[in-house]
Amino acid sequence: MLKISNLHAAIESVNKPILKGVDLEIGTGEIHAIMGPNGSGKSTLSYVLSGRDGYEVTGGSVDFAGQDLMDMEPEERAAAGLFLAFQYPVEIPGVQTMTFLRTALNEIKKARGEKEIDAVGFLKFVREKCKSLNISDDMMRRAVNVGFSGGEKKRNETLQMAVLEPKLAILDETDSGLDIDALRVVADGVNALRSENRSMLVITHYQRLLDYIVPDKVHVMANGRIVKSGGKELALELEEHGYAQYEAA
Amino acid sequence: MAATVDTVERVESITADKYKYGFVTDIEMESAPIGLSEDIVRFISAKKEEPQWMLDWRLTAYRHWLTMEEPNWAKIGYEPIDYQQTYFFAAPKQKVAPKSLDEVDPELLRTYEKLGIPLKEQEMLAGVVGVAVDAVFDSVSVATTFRAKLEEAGVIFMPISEAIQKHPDLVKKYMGSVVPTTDNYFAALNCAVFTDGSFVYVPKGVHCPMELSTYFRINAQNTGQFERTLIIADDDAYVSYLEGCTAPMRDENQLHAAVVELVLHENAEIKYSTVQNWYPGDEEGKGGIYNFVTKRAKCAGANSKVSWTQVETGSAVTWKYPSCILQGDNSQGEFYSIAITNNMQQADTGTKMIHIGKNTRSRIISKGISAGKAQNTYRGLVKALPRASNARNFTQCDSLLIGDKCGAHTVPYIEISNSTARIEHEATTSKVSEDQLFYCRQRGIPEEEALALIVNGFCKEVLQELPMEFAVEAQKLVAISLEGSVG
Amino acid sequence: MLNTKRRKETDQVSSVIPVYQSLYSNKDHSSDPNWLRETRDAGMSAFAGQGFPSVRNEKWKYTNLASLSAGDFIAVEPENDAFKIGPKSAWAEARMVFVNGVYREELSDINALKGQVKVVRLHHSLSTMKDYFGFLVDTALPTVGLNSALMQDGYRVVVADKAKIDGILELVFANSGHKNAVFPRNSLKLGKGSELTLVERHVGQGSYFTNSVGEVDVQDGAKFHHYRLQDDDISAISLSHSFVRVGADALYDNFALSTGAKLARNEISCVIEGEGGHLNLLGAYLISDAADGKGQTCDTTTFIDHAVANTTSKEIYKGVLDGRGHGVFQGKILVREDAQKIEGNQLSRALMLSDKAEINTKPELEIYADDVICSHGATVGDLDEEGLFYLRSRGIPKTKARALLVKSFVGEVLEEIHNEAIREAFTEHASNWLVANAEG
Repeated sequence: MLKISNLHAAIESVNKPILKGVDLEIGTGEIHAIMGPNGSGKSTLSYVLSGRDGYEVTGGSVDFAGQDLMDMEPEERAAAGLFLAFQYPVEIPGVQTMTFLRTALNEIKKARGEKEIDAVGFLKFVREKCKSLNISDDMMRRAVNVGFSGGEKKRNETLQMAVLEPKLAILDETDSGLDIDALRVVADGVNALRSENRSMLVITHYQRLLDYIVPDKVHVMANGRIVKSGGKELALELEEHGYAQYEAA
Repeated sequence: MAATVDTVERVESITADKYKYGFVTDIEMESAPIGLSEDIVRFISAKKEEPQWMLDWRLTAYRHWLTMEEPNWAKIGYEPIDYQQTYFFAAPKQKVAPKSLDEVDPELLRTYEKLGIPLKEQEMLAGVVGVAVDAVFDSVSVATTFRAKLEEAGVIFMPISEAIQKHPDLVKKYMGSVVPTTDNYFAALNCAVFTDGSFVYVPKGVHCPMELSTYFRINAQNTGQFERTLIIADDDAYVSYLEGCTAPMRDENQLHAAVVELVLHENAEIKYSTVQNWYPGDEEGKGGIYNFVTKRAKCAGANSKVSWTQVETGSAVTWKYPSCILQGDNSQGEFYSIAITNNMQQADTGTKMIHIGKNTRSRIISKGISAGKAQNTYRGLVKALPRASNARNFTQCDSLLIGDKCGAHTVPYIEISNSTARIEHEATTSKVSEDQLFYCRQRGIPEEEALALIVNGFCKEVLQELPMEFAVEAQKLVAISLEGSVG
Repeated sequence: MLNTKRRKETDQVSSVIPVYQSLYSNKDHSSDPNWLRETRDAGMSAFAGQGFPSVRNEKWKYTNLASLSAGDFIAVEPENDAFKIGPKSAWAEARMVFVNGVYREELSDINALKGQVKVVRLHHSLSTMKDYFGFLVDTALPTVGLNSALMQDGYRVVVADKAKIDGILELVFANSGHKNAVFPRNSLKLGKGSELTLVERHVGQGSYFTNSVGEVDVQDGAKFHHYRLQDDDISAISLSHSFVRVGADALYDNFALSTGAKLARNEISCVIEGEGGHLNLLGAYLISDAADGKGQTCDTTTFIDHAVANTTSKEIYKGVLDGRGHGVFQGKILVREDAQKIEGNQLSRALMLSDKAEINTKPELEIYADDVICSHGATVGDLDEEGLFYLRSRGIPKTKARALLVKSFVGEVLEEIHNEAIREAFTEHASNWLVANAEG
């Protein structure tokens, strides 16, 4: 599904290298977690994969379902099935969540040559999704993320993921800013979206999220590289011993 | 609101051509000789078979205009207007005035159909669409729909030239009572040479049964359009009025200098909405309409309420300040504005809220969007006179910049002479956030659509003030106006 | 346009121009070097070409200088029976005193600050200031031109690079007499990385006219805290125009407290020329009736030019208007093309305590770069009825409650004063004004 080979990237404005040769392969239906200390390049990786401006890819390649990901515009990556659940979801005043999501879904459908969905059909579709995720659909009538609590924002990200049905979802620090109850609700939503043809990349600083979203593999990222990979037990080990040993490397 | 939900669909349906109203109608015209003089004023008045008092009024205005100078305080720059190279009267040739739509030149009906204003169909769909239209083509009104139905309710809706003949007392009483002939340079010019426009009178206690609308079209070359609209809402009356404007794409600039006067008596309410989409000129700033408009409402009666909503996306130059004179106690004025400038467009627009009566309230919501190399200025005045106890004003002025070659300016004047007045003014200027754009694009929405979505969101407070049909149209316009401003 | 010639301001009382022209030609400038005489001539012709600006001039729309146009002010030589000057303020390390525009050594004490800061009277160094004098100043403006023509004295302060001056320098401008006109001219330069705190106090007795001009050069990395207390006689006319240049990573921090004068205008024109430059323009004005029973006018006019990227400015002015007080605030923020990453925030609030008071506000944003966050806010209102009721319901009498609310309204901006001693002194001055005027 996703194959990252020797990926190097820098912050454009200050020409500062952040990713220094990342290798990572995620198979279809697999859930991988990347853990690492602050500043290790975790969030940069999610931005580089989703195509945010301001980062320059200085080496390596990323293959996504047979396509060269680094050659594509952000919206093309979305249409190809890549979804990023933001650490800090952005507020867009005046734009109803419903309008926003239907625009997104129809643009993706259009790019894929599929038939677009009309307003009535979409409403029905979204209501079902809300129900299955246990999310109240009045969120859909509010402007995108405006005035949402931390928990609501993360739930909205989950709902968007459910609506857009990506092949690969990157969850960037989904646990940040959530108390334990909110975390559980969001994790339940994510788990409901697990399927054998959907891969996920969970980026987190803390192990606690992985109690709820149990990964197939765990990678440790430090200083712009994957420095260790293992099973889910690796997360527990990190919880106990911290990142110090990797940061020194 | 539902219109917002529809945006996306509508935005998608936008055709590739940037100004789809740029076509020219090939129709036989008659014009006054080119240029401006007392003779031209007399010519226009004669053409309209006006009574002597109307001609005298025009001549007074013209003579005063000669003593005035073109204002230069606005933040706009343009080639000098040569009044001697402009036609002040152009009208489609017709032998006798059409009595019904069946007699209107089919070429004209086709023109309005192409503009999305099917005059015939609308007449047929009576009660369903519920919008009465006065269609003004260059200097004259060519058709007014639904007149019979309105007459039943006692509402007078007709071309102003006809009102001068049929309702001289009303016209005499009110014309110039809000914007006098000496008011300003462009208003004085309009008083001298106005050719047509709409007249509305809503009698006491009448809630106008449908939306009234005027559609202005400039077609002829080198011709100025000088229309004049007068709306009177008597005690307890209500009317909602819409106007739309388009013009062909031409290389030379054309002048549009209109005057709109609204008079509100006790408890009356007028809602006036404009979607201004005159030809803005090309990307290099060639051609386009010079839009110099004086719009003013007088809330003469207590508890009256006027609301101006404007979506200004067209014109090369816009100079326009729809204002409210809040004379009656407890009267209210509102101004909701979206002004979008792209490429080389310039807009200097805003409002004046003059609080005279007690407990008068006003609200100003202005959204300016500047892209390309355009300059966009909000200019407004909030004034509370000593008698205006408990006057209230709230102003929110937001500017959005798209690209680093445009400008956004805010020039509010606040003049308060009453200690119990309470005024709040807020203004912000920022750019479309990269974060917002990226968020949309990550969800699969291409950049231009994402921009249109964000800008429509930015304008929402104003868009939701528009009547439904206009709101949809306006949202499309927002998207079209910004085409080519990113990437 | 049909005819673009501007309307001539023919309504200016033309008699005022010859008065100042003859005043100028009667002065002996023979000791001035050529360049200085040229500067004076240019200033005089700028003034002679326009006279005092009328309300038709957009920048003077709300402040009417008609009383100056009568031309009955006469520039004076120092008088000995000067306005009584008290001792140096407790917070001051050093002090310069100018009486009727002229430095008075016996009242001054500048020895404490000697060393890394040079404090002199302008009069003595004028002839040596060729490369420095007036380079920030727009002499084409009529009031500034008039100052350039007729200025004789003022302060000149130069702080050496990296010198951090701990002691506060106090400048007292005292005027007295009837219909005297004075033209102080001040010049200030803070070397790279230096820091200085300076307080100007404007006091006096009589119906004088003071028209001062200052230029302030805050070089890279320097910090300048510039405080101004304008407590002129309420029959006086007090005009001041400062021109400020802020370098990279430099700070110009200005606070103006105004309670005096029949007509006061404090105009500040700033250009931020270096990245990382920051500007604070803060102030409060408390005004009521003037000596002649008409209202005091207090005009604050500011212009901030964000000429380069990564610069910030913050502006807050609060006005308390009692009696027939007339407040004017005109604030313009300009962000030039390519000056990206700008933050400019401006706030003007006026509290109207009397139904005869008047306020005119014109905040203005002119922005040519897109990556900016600029805002302005303006409010006008009387005391918050709910707040008043709340306090009274807690047993506080109405007058006391009113005073408390007014005090807290002004207090918000006084809190912004960086230096504690000055903050206290200014707060006390404002409180005294409130006791004398607004409480009752």
